[in-house]
Amino acid sequence: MARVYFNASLEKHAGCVSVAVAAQNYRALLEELTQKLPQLTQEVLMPLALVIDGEIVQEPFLADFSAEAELHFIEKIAAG
Amino acid sequence: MSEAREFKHIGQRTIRPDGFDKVTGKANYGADLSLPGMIWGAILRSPHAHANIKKLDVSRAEASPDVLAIATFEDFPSVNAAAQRDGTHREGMMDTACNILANQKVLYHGHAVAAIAARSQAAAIAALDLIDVEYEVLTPVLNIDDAISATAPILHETMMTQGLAEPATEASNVSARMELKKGDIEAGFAAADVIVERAYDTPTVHQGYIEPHATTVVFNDNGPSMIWCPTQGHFDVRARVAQLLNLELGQIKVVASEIGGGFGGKTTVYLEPVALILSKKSGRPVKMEMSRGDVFRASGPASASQSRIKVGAKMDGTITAMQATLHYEAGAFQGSPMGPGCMTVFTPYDVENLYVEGFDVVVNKPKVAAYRAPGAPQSEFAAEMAVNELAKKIGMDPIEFRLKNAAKEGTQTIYGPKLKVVGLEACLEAAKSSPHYTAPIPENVGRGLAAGFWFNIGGQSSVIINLNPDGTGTIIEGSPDIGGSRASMQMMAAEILGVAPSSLNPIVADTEHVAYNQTTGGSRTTFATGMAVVEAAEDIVEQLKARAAAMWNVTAEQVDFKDGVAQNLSGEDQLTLAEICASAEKTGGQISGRANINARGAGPSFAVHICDIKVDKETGKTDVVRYTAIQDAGKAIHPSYVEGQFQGGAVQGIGWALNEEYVYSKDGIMENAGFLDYRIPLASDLPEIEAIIVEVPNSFHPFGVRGVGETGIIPPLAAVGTAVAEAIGQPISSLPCSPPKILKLLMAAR
Repeated sequence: MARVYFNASLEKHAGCVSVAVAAQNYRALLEELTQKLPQLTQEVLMPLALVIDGEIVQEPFLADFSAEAELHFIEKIAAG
Repeated sequence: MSEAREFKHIGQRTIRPDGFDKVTGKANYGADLSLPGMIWGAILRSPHAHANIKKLDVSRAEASPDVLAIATFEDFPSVNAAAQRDGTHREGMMDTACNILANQKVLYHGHAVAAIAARSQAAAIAALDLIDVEYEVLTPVLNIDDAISATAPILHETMMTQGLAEPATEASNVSARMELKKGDIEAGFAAADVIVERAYDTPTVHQGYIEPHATTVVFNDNGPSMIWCPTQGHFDVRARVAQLLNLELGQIKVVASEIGGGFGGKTTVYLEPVALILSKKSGRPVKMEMSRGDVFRASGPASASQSRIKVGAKMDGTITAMQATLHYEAGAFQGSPMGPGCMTVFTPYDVENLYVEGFDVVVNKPKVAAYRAPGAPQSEFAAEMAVNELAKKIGMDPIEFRLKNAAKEGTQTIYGPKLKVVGLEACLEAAKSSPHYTAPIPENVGRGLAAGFWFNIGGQSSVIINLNPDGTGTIIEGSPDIGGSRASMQMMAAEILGVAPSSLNPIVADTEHVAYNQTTGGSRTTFATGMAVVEAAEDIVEQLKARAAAMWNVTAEQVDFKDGVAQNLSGEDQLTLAEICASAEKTGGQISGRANINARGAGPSFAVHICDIKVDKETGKTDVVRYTAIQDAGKAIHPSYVEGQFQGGAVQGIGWALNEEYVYSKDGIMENAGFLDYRIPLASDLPEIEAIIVEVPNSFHPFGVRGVGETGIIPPLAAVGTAVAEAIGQPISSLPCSPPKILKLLMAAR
């Protein structure tokens, strides 16, 4: 299963440092996380970028990933 | 793209396609468009830093025959009182609207209060005196310490701190808190032999783009309204104006003029929506310009910051723990780059135990905007200064110290993900063997060195390439060219198509003639729009093969295409790209390729800078006597432009470190709103910036590009700060290292 790791700010919502997920795409991931961790709402997650195995995906709506993927949510990177 | 590749055009120093028009004055910038019947707009700005607007009376102005239209906050239908009453207001646009035209309260010196349009610029400016405003002056909050004190005046009565352990119950000037951690910070410091802990601060600075904001607009009831302006993102100008004025995107066309610098400061809107309101009301085209003073007082500078850094290491040079508390000024409305500041602060280091806490703080200064690698120069300045001090305490060379702790492939960052292949070690090695670092330090000179990290980003880009019957073509892109990207697009397309770059004319199209493109920024354009160019060119190659196949009556699979020539693999026939284009009418019409992508796989970038500084101990004046910028570009498409980005970032960072700062009176009045008093470095102030390009390819880009615009501004702050500290023998904790500050340090030491 893929594993989602939460930074300290998200940990407050998630209540844990990481969680294993069966999802293999972004939409399924949101659904699974919000069911497993109700405090981690779509409003919290959707403004964030998804990092898949070290690759930052700013707009992850159609992103998919492997069952072994390491996932992180981070703040979207601003333009300069 | 991991293997070494030979390129025909990539890596060459071609003639820039926009150069001739720029040096001969033919290029059209933001203020260069005038239209028949055009009138002028002007803005009334607040003389106070913090005040309630008790009365705003425009009746005398309305009665003036010179005045053709007036705009106030109430003209924003998305957020005005009527929208609030009927529940249709867009809450998310409130801060943007209030920043453009104040709503009941002014929050910084120069905050726009109302606008007037008249037949001439002089008449518009004169008519501003006919607007009567009654202010109730409030105590301004001008720095982080004042803003977070228990007795601070509150700027926004409804703003609660987000991100606290428990939900906030009282209004605060701190809009948000962020926390990042890795490992066990206490155990990390307990394992350290030496610890450095210091506080640092950086001032409010401006991007210093030479071209002030300007716009010319025409409101059109029966078709798209037109906005002409210098911007880093004309699609986002369209979106913001549409949201503010309750228009559909299709009702607005934005044309990006040539741009005289942006550096992140031209990623939002100030004049454009106001001009469109004035145009709608007057029925005339409207032009507006900011003065230099307006640009300083009321556009978006970079955040001032306060940082507390603690770093611990063993005597063998292994860093065991790094900790930071970072405060960023957001200006009058929430939204500083505190987040990226927290994420980047320690990323150059592979350290087990990290802890970072960040705060976004509102003050009575203009709302900040992006400035090259937003948030990173401030936090990494503090971290790099502390790292240099720690290396010195341990007795290690600063490069060796960094090499021992350098981030590399597999390093887990504090913001979560592990780094892929990155070039920090390669940059440090290049620095170590550089002519600069291997040269002895001259007498009375201090030397400083620092590293920097920026993520780089991808995002949405759209490109069309049209070929003409003679084989020439046009590259139609939608990424405003702020740093030479048109040349890069030309070269990447030429590489794929096997033609001369000069045969392809790159243009930045308006919002109607190319699909959506994200704003130029975050070092995304050569990477992401470049990927779209490659994809569009590859689309054309497939079509060229099909057209040649049709000419030869074979299948496309029987055609190869290389170096601009199609080869019939079933025979010896050949057709050049130009010959295929010449026959295109017979084989299905003219040839055009396109790509609409959301680019992923941006490659992070690291840089290392070396600075030598001489200080006049009688006057405190500093002179940079030698400077070298080393950075991983992934692949330098056009090395001259890449070197230019390194040099530009270095110069802006040197200015930030040595002289630049917003100076306010105790009443919050900006006292140096002009280039005479706000001192950016001039060419005559600096030596040639030596640029060393390191190329560790990004495997996600067809040519290995990482992006180079941001990272170069990060290391100069600490490289300069450390060099000054070495030169005067005193620690530096506050930027800029201006002569009065240096003298004060020297006097205190005597």
